[in-house]
Formats: sequence, C-alpha cells, structure tokens
Amino acid sequence: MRLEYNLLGATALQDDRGNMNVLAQRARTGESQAMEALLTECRTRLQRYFAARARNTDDCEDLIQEVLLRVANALPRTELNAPFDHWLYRIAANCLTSYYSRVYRQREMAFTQLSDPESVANLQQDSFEASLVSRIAEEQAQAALREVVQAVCSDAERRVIWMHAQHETIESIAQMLQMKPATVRSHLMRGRAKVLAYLIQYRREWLGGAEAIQAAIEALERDGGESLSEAERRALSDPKPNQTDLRRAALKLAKYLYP
Amino acid sequence: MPAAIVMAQRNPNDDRTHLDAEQILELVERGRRHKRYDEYIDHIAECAVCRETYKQLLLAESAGRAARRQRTVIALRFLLPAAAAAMLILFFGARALLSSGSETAGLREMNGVWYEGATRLPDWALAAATQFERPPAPTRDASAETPRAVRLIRPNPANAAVESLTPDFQWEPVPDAVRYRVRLERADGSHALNLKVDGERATLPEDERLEAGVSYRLTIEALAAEELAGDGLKTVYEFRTLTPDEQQQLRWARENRMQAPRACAVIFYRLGFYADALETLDEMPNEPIVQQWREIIQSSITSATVE
Repeated sequence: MRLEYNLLGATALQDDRGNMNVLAQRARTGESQAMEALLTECRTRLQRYFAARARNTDDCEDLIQEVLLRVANALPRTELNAPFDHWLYRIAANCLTSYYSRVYRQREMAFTQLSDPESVANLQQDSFEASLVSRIAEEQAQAALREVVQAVCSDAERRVIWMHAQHETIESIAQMLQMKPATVRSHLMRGRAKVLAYLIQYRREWLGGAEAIQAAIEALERDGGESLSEAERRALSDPKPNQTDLRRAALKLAKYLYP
Repeated sequence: MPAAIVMAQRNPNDDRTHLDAEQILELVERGRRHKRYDEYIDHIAECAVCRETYKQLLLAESAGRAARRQRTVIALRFLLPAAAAAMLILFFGARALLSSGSETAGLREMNGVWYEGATRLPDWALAAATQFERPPAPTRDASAETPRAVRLIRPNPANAAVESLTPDFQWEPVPDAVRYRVRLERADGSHALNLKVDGERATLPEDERLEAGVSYRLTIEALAAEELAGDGLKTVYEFRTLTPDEQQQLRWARENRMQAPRACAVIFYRLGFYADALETLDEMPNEPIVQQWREIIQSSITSATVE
C-alpha cells in the first residue's frame, strides 16, 4: 500500500512502512507535523486492530487514544530498537492485554499453562546449542553449524532449536509454534540428538575431538547418570549410518561435552 | 548474545530484513492456516525483533480468547441454573394445572377421575393400576417346570385363558406319532367332548362352542403306530374362557397398553393373559417393581398348565 503525505510536502509516493519510519524519525526530532501525520497513520492501523478485538466502539476508541498517547509521549525519548510498526503493535498488544484483564476482571495470564512444569524447568537450563554457538567463535563455523541443523533436523526441530538457542523458554516456543510444551520438548530433544550425533560422527573436532568425548563418558559415569549401553558405546566409537544408538548416547553425553 | 552471532546479521532498524508488523499480525490471526506460515515462522525463529513482536501479539490474542471463554463460562454459570429453574417451574406448573387432585405412583386424579399418563382409567382399571404397586407373591418356582410331551402352539400356551369361544388348537408334531386324540372337558368334569383332529390341529365339532367364564381341561394324546387310545403320550392344558366383561377389559387393555402400562399389565395378569402382560412390562423402564412383576408372571406361566 502506498500513501501520499501532502501535509509534509512530500509529493512522492512512498512505501507505507518506510514512510512511517521516516515520519517516526522526524517526529522524534520534534517535528510536530510529522508527529501529527504519524499519529494519523497509526490511527488507521489501530482502528483495524482494535475494531475486531474490543467489546464495543467506545472501548475501541479508548484503546486507540491510549496507544496514540503512549506513542506521542514515548517516541521523542525512545531509541527504537525495532521498526516503528513493530513498536506500535507491541504497544497496542500491551494495551489490549491490560484492557482484557481490566474489562473482564481477570488476572494476568501465564504465557501458557504448562502440563509438566518440572520437566520444562529442567530444559530451561542453559541451551546446549547456545553454548555450542558461543564456543564456535568463527563466523564460518557458525554458518556450518547452521547448515548441519538445516540438513539433519525437521522444520519443527530446526525452529525449536533456533528459538531455544536464543534463550526462548519452552513455553514461549510452544506458544509461538502452537504446540504443547511437551511436543516442543520432544522436538528439542530429538533435534538435539540428531545434531549431536552428526557432530560426533562427522565433526568431532568441534566437540574437542575423541578425547573430549571420552572425557564426557567418564564424567557421565562419575556422576552416576544413566550409563551408556554396550551398543551406545560401540556407536560412539564406530558410528554407523543407523544413528539410533548414537543419538541416544549423544543425548546422555550432551551436558558433559560442554560442561 | 549467541543468536545475534549465529543468525543473519540484522539491523533492528533496517525494516527490509523484518516482516511487516501486519504480516506478523496476520500470522497470529491465522496460525498454521496462513499460506506462508512456514516462511514467516522460519523467519521468526531466527529474527529476535520479529519474534518479540509476534510474542506480544500472540499474548494479547490469547488473553482475548481466555477472557471471552471466561465470559462465556460466567454467562453459562448464571444462565444454566436460571434455565433449569425455569424448566422446573414450567414442568411443575403444567402438572399443577393439569391436576387439581391427588397423585400417586404414576396415577393422578383430576375432578374425581383417575388417569395413568393421559389415559382415563375406568374403575376396574384403576384397581388394577393400584395393585401394580402391591404385586402378589409368586405362585410357583419357575425352575420346577417339566417338559411336555405335546407342545401346544395355539392358543398361546403361556396364557391361562383363551379369548375365543370357538378356539382352534394347534401343537408341534410329536416324533413317532401317527395320530392324535384330543379331548376337551370342563374342569369340574361335568361335560366332555372329543375334538375334530386334522394332523396337528383340532377344532370343536360344528355347532359346539365353549361356555364363557368356565375353566376347561384340554388333553392331547400322541399315538404311535401300534398304540391304542389311552396308551399314548398325554399332555393336559388347563385354561378358562373370559366372561363378556373380561372380554371388554381385555380389549381395553390391548388398546391402552402403551399409554397406561401399569393398569394394563395387571389386567392382563388378572385375566391370565400372561404373554400380553410380559410384553407390556417389556415396554416399561426396568425398575425393581417391574422386575418383580416379571418374576410373578413367569412363575404363573409355568403353573398355568399342568400335566
């Protein structure tokens, strides 16, 4: 969609979103006309957003006013760390959530209701992938790791792994991907097992070589964790195309490979 | 932050690398049904800026859904009891309107007239319906039944009475029997006659008819080739005929068995039409009282005829 802003004397048609960003930049510097034009454009978008969500037109108008007020107050003193339209919609979503809780007299909701909070809490420890990423400092190696994930994981596993690597919680990922937390957990574990098995088989040097793997086995035994079966040991020393045992072993060793 | 390293280098303010907020909103609204779901969600998985916007929009959306759901539950919490109360008032109100008198065990009285359901009960039917709540003791243990040599098919041997005064008797063939002899006599022995036999059927002689309201004894004798009369296998059935009043009651009960099952079941029982009584009970809810009546009638069937 393209709009024309005669108010600013801008005769050229500009990309709607780009125009909003430009207007926002100018409004931040104190241009009142730019602020007015920006708020007009915001109103159109907010009208669409709230009309379908507020209980009635009065509430809709109140919500729009509230958001516009926040934008007008905050914009001059805010360093935007996202495109303006994202910032606008985040404020709108925030107002809407408060509105729901206020109007329906409902307490703030948890992001999701976890079916198995304990298991999820365990998984919310430091992400193995994040740890791995931080240790592979070279950009080239990071790109290679990205390729590995892309190659060995399913779409769902890949998405879960990336989000988790960026410190998203299991419940947050579940909400975003419209899955149950337990399903997210399964994808994460399965994807992680696949990546680790691949690294053990083809990129041992990324994990510190055979010595590091042996050290991880010893650490596992020392800790009294679930020990490796004979088949899993064989798979570690001599990986075969069928990675079932190797993946199982990789999962058991995961936390010892990068203590 | 590792993600910032591993992911494509993105400038948060460079909107060319991000989804439009409205595109994200569209994804929130349509979810997996969005035709570009995979493309958008792949981007969101890697882009922290878009993901943050996506999360906040999702949060608002789920808050809205939860609020609406709660509102519905609250509405139902008030509406359902109100609806239930209204139904009860309606139900009892209608009953009160229909009935200005007393009511007991499925029967109700209005202006001196008794009804079972919507069926008006004659006095004799009312007495029967009242008896339904007080079943008699079983007459005989059903397990004591002995097998019969000749099994009557018609009239229904389960019944202790026959409707017709010119009955047609029919029985199952008996192995080895080459002929049958059928004798009918009054239970008091005052009058006897031999029936006309044709194969496994027997009828009264022409110009003969049974007397109403009288008990009879029917003897069927199956004779093998060399057997003489009196030496064959005999089976005796006892039955009685109905009086004109009883005939009327039977007709009424057959017409109203679905509408007034309590009264009709007892009438059938009293008349000795046990098969009809059982059929009527089978249409009723399997309550303890119905089960009790079923046992009584079963025992009456076995004791209705004796060998």
